[in-house]
Amino acid sequence: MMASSYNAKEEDANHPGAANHAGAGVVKSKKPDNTAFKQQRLPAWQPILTAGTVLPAFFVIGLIFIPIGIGLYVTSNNIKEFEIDYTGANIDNPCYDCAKNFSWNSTAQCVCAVTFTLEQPFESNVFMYYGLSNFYQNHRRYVKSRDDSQLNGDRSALMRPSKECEPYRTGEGSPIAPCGAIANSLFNDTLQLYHIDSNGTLNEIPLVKKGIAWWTDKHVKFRNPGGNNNLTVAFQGTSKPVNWKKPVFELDPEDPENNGFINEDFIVWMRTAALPTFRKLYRIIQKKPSTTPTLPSGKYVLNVTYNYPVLSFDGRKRMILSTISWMGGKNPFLGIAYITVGSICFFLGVVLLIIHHKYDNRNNSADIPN
Amino acid sequence: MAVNENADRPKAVRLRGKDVNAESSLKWPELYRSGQRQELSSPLILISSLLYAVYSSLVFFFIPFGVFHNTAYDFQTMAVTVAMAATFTANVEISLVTRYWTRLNVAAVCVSVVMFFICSRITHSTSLFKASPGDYFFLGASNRAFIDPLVWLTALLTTWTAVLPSMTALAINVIFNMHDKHKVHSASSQPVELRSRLRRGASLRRSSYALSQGAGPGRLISSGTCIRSTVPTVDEQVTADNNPTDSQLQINMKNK
Repeated sequence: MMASSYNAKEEDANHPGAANHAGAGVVKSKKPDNTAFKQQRLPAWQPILTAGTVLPAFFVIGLIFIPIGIGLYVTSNNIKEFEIDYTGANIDNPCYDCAKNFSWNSTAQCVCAVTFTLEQPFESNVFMYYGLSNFYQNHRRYVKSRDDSQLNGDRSALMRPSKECEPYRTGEGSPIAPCGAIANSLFNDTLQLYHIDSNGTLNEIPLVKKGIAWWTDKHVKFRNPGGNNNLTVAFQGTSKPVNWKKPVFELDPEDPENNGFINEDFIVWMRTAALPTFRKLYRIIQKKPSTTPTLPSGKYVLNVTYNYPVLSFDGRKRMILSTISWMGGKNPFLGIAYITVGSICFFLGVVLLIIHHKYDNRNNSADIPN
Repeated sequence: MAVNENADRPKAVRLRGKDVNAESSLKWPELYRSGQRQELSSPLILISSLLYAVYSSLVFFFIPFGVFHNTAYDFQTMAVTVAMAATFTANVEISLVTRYWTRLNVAAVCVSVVMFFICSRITHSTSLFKASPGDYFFLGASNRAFIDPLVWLTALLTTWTAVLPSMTALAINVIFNMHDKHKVHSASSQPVELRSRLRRGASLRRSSYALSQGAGPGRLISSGTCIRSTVPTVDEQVTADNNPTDSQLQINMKNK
């Protein structure tokens, strides 16, 4: 910055003034102004770098990171999580038949029941996720295959979707709403959870489907064209995506606040994941008002309406039940990473201290006074 | 980004350092050492810059990868995390190299960090999204990311891990070079006499001034006096002119 301002001053000085016709006029001096800024006389602080100031930084950071890492690891261990794979890749998996007999044309829905046991009761709000593996929602071409104007309720974009949605832009002669590959691959398995109590009766656990999407997504980014009522009329002239069984205005006909583009499951799916192994919020199990645990320990049954084929690309599907804390879900990696980096830092500090000590001693003993 | 920063080391050093005036240049000739020995652009420096760039790229990806693996976080939140880590790392690297902290330097670092947060909030805002939904589709990402402790912890860990080699290099530099370093703060500007290895009257070399006073440089040039110091090739005896300004100019060359 200082160099460029110096150059600018030089260029100004090279142009002689227009009034100097006679040649006896004053020639502008090329010398820069005698200000503190231009003569580099600004008051400055110079850090005194010695071993005594630099080496403690390593120890301090190490001593800060290690307790943070331990705290994170302990917090993560206190979070309860349960994960169960229901893809049906092996014959001993309950959903093996559904997976094997899947076909795109069948109208009959395949239901499989997966039983599992919770060792520990889950307290407070329990979040139910579906997880996918080997599903690259972060692929560049996939991420761009959407039309945000159409999803925002723009009528012209509804009828003429963007070119980015190709080849899922038009189908059966009419524009597809919602267009694009992300919408086309919407996750459509239905999961239901039942608790088997001591009598053997199945108690359905109430799953809340509102409040799973981001507020900005639900209220700003995704809007139905022409309001939330009369969606059948609003979407006239469009066709459903290729892989969907129902059109978009039938995603939740009972609730107009959750139908069409503002359906929360749809919004959650459209928020693309970062990595090929991800999970997305499916339902929330709210905590009971009394002190009873939300999910007592015991046997449970998960009823899966198996609609989503993943075996063709060697993907896996799972259901996850998890409590959350201030740091989100269970994440031992961050705690371990902090402890590791803190220890490396501390170790480096010790090594540098030893080197400094040896070098100092060698120098002091080698000095021969003249 | 790291390769770009480190590739132009001379410019980087120049922009963050301070110019030295004429008297100080004479007093501390060791300031020229880095240029003469090509310390700032040698192949070793370039290769180490490249390796450091590769290392920091791996750190910027794999630490957020490990944190966000098998979680409910989306790719926009991960993008904001990596961007935060990159901004912090760049500013820390600049701070490590800066030796003269004027108010402008402090302002530059602070403004850089603050502008990152402000610009993120602006580009993720509702008004820009409504103006052009196809371009500003990060709506709401920074709202949640900047108040999420996991995002901040990941960014700080990534920053420190990426900066660790530079800090280690600085510490090693300080340990090994502390003894030779003059206290540059104390600037006593006294005029310094140029001391040259050649004494006046040495018969083998003549200054250009002396040459210009003599008969002409022809014989001297063709004999290679000024170039070669040991082995003469021409059997000649050149006697000095009767010029009182030249002192003891006898060039005796014998070819044995």
